[in-house]
Amino acid sequence: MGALVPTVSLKDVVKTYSNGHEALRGVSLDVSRSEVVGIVGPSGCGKSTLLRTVNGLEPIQGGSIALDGEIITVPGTSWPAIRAKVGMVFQKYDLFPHLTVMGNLLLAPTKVAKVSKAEARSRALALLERVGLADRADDLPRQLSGGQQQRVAIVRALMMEPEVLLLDEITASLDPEMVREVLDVVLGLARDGMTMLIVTHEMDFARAIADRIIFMDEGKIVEVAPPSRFFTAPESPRAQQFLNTFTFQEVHHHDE
Amino acid sequence: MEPELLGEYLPVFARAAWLTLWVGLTGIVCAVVVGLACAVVQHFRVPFARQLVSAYIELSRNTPLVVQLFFLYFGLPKLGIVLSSATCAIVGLAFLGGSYMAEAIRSGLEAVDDGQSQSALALGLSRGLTLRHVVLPQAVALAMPAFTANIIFLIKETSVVSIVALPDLMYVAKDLIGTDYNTREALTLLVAFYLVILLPISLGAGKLEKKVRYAAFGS
Repeated sequence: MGALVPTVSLKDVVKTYSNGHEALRGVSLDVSRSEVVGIVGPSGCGKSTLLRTVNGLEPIQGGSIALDGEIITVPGTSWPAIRAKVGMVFQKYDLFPHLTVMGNLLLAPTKVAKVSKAEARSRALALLERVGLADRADDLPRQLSGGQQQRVAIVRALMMEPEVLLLDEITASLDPEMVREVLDVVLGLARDGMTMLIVTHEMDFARAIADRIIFMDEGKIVEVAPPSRFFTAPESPRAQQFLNTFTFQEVHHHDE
Repeated sequence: MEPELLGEYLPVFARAAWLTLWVGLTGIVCAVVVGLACAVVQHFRVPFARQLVSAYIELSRNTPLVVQLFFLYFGLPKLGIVLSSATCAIVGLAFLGGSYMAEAIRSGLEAVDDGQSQSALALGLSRGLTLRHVVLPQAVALAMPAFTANIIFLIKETSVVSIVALPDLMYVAKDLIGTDYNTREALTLLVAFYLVILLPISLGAGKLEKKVRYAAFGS
């Protein structure tokens, strides 16, 4: 595949729910290999929906989506095969509660990719080591903290050796002191060249990790900019307004 | 009450209890299979089959077992299908129990958090693999209380199979009362044997519920 072919390419993607709500109103976006794209915007702007269209969890009603130049939004697409190449991590971790950490990690590689148990196991242990959870392989998810569960969820997605990783507000359910340990793992992945689409409310994180910021509002991309420019001098009034909500005016107390 | 009579009737009741248990458990196993199939059809909203399953569930839940057994034992022979008493009893229990088991499993399937199947699908698991490895194990744990209640209900329902001439506990008791007039002894043994069958199942079910729930959810 040529260097010019985007890893993920969305063209005029339209998502309309059966109740008539237009979640995406013509979204186009190219993501190149090893690029990290941060997607921000007010709640309900369609950013999570956008991620979920890439692995077909949300079927689209218009436009097209291509993976490595191959259009996947056509009838007859084998979504399980696509999803095996597109990893996703969710806000609520969604580890399987009846399986151990190792069981969670082995399920997809052994049942879908048909990797041998021994090989999958050694890959799992290496990845757990990397996120600092090598000693928790035999624990059940409920024995782990939220931050640890989310790190396991990231490893679970990595087990399939995805070409792209979709991260959907992965720190939104975490206690503040656990956010860092999860974001550090993601920063490590970015350094290794993982292609990622990251929906987040952590503006500092988006600024630190993203090569490009996509600002969405009402189902459309309103602004695309490098983080340095987006967070200091956003062009669109809507983005300026949005970013203002993250800064608090200092409250002055006047002693009379 | 004549104690020596109890001893004399004991082997007769023991045989009948064994038959009751055998018919009951076989019927329950069949009911679980039917219930699982129906629940999966409803869960995946399989067109056509889904309407069929709904019709079956309404029919099964809104007709008495006695009527279902009458149909199997006296009705089917008119269509040239002759079933033995035991087969009738088992098919009847499976027909009745299948709908109750289907509803139990379906409520369990619906109670599993949607994020579970979403994350399984996102990993590349097919709908079938997702159901088998992720959703169903949790659904069964959630459905356990309804499940065990159904098992006890179905064993108690076996008391009507005597109407298709199956010599179960009820049949033997009625028979002994009718021939020997030893009503007290027969009724004492009848109650005692139902308790001997059902109490361990009840107590075991409670323990099993806790155990399965803990294995799946840790609470």
